[in-house]
Amino acid sequence: MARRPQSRATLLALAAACLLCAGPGCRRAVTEAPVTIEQTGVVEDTGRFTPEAVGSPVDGNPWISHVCIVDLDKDGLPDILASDDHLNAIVWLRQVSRGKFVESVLADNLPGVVHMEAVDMNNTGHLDLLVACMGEVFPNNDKIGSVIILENDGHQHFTRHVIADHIARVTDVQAADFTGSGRLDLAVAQFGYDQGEIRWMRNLGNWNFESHILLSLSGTINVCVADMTGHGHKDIVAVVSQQYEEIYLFENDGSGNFTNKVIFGSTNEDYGSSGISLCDINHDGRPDILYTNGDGFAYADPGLRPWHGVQWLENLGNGFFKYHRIGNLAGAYAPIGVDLDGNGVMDIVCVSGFNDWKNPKAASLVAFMNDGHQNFTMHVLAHEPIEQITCAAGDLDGSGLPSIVTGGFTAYPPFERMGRITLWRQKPRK
Amino acid sequence: MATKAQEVRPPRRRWIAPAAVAAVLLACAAIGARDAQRRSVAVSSIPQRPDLGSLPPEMAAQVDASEQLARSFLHSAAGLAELSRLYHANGFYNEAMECYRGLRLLEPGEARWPHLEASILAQFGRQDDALPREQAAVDLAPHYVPARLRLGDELLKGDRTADAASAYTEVLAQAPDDPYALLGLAKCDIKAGNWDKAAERLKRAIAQHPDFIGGLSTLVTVDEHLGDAAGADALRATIGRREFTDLSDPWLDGLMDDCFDSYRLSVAAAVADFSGDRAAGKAMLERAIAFAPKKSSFHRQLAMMYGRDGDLATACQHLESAVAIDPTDNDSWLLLTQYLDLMHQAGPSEAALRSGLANCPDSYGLHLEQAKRLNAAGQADGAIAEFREAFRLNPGEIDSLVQMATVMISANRGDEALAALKEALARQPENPAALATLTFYYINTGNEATALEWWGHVQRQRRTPPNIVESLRQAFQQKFGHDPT
Repeated sequence: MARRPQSRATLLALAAACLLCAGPGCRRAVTEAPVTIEQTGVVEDTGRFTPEAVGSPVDGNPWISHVCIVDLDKDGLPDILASDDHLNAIVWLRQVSRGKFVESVLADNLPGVVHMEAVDMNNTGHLDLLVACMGEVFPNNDKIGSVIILENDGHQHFTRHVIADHIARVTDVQAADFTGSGRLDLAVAQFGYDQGEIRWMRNLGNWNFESHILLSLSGTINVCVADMTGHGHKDIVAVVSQQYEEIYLFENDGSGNFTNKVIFGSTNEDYGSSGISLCDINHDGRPDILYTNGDGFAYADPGLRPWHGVQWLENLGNGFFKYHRIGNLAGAYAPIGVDLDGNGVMDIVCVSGFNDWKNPKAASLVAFMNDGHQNFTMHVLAHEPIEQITCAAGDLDGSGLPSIVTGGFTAYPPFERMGRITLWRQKPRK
Repeated sequence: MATKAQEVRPPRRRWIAPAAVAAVLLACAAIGARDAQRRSVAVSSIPQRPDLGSLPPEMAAQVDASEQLARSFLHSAAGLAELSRLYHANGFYNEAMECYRGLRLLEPGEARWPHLEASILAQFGRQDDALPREQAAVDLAPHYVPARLRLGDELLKGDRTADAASAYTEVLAQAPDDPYALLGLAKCDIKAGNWDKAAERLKRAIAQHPDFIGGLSTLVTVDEHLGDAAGADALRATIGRREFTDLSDPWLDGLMDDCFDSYRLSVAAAVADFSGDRAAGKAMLERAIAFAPKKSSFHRQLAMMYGRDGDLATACQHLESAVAIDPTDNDSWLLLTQYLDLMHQAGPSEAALRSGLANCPDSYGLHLEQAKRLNAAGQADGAIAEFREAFRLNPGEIDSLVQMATVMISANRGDEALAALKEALARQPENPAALATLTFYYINTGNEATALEWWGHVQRQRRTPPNIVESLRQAFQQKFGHDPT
């Protein structure tokens, strides 16, 4: 059928117009839901705590790599333990009377001691100390790490048991019964440098342990132990930094056979993993993982990175986890879950090891306050002392409200506003 | 035939002209409508202006210009693209992602936008959100290798090892021997427990790229796992203090041309230098200095790059600038002292050391340098005092103790030397220099049994340089008349 010329022309014109319209345009929808990088609100809250330097005064640059709160002598007054890498020693800040601390060296000759955990290893009712020694805190490829247990005779006299030595640098040791034997076995993190490991050590009794390597990667900072899967056995969670930047779950079958899987990993090789801890943030009965990335050692002058911050991995059960970013914090270290204001919800406290210290407003101690629905607001608790890399929380003064203890490790300029061990007492609320 | 053709030719087409005009008008209307729509998308994608107060004024000026372009009818997409670069390069990530969302609507065939958005999300640990965007980028630009490598990395981090291996294998199909793809596959092998295969892939990567730190350091792990301690040690020696560097990604790396943030530039410069592109590192540091001329550490960082290139004169110029800006920058004083010495300018070098110590009396490095110089000048007592001061200032560094012990041995102060070495080894039990010096001490004092015991430690410490081991062997032979082994 012949088409009339006019309609052909019209069609032609329309086709041309359509063709032009169909050029580079805006018609294909972006399929992914829009997302943003969380920017939590920031509240200046430096009046909440009163800081007090405790223990020996600062002599030179403080090198405190770990602090913990424990009633070591069971006198009802919680004490403070700290690893001091100038002294290569664990120091005990005994609370001799409410609010009064007296420092003494609990154990020395512990090269590169970076972590201690108080556990009754031999069912005597006394707290022994699991000790992680790197050999040297700064980068070193030698096998100079060791795992040491300090056995407490009940009078705070400690007998040293070297459980493993001449191994890649050890950064964390935790105890749990992995086999149902009734004895506490060990989970060990070994940072190494180019070569590190994660191992568990079967307790054979009489301070003898048998090593089983779980992973041979460098950069492990922390191990945590808990029943993560809900299957009734103690599993291991570990954070591996260096170029890996991964969190592993080692699922235990109850006999010490572990199956590993990556439950978080960053493709940013400078992500700066700096620590993990466990706590049930959402009160669902499952331990979640708190995680900071704030290590700023790599490449140029050590310092902050924009992606430094705090996050939690929500335990969904059966070995599945969901990542939630909490907020940004330059140089974030040492995350701990603590109900700061006693309202029944878990807040998060952490410190900053690397920040823009020339800016007097740079935070050194913060709390991410939880609204009860896991929405967090960052409260800046302090701007100094700077370069804090470890913290612990507990009711040190019997007020019912937790205090915080922080430790400073000043390895880089500026060598100012330094703090060795600081106790932060919460002011009574009106 | 021609006549017939002329006969059947239709009458003159009077409709052509009006139709053409109509078509043009319609096309113009369509173009206008499209551009209006594009402009509308671009304008609605312009983020709210963040606080740019901490950056040089050039940044705000460029943001102004880009926003203006994005609001234009003809170049709205180009304007939004410029704006996205500015925000991304200077750390305004949410603003950059807002731009990228608009750009993906405006240029749905452009892989760069989902790739760059994915890079921001991955940088912040948001792998789940990054993954679909990276997949979109790979679908749009299947031959852009960095996107596919990133996809593999994200899959691997998400514990999807088989999918990750497929992504890396695709890369190798396009770029045989790509070291990052081989590293990725090796990591997949390690996860599967196939360590031999991992070693094979890593060796292949290193054969093609001998300085590929990612491959070298992972091979250390593999060698250790396979029981090849000697191989692992040799690799460690090769690696030294070099760091893993990320893959080159021109779409992402090119953003630094739009960076006005001096600190960000200094970090990127360090990364570029580690990656072997010192020229790019220098250029970035020059820009960082232009934006922050009063920051001494940037001058020091640049001086070190010139120093590594052997251009000590330029290095010294930058170090002089650094100490003029910040006289308490002890690292700059130390480098200046050392570089001047290397240039055989003894007087200026001494003067720099004196000035450094005057301005930085608590500098471990400067006291150590002073100790070495006093020792070289035969002033043992002064040197020992300076070594002691250096150790007091930095007890984590035991070089000062070991060197002090050496001076003490020469000065017949053996007991003090022994105490210093024992303290050094208490702090770093396998320090090669301390072990060797202690062995030498026992050889020197004629204590054969103890010398042999420490000789054993030296031999087990594989980081002891072979020439030191040989010197000790000769000293032992000379002293006791037989070989220590």
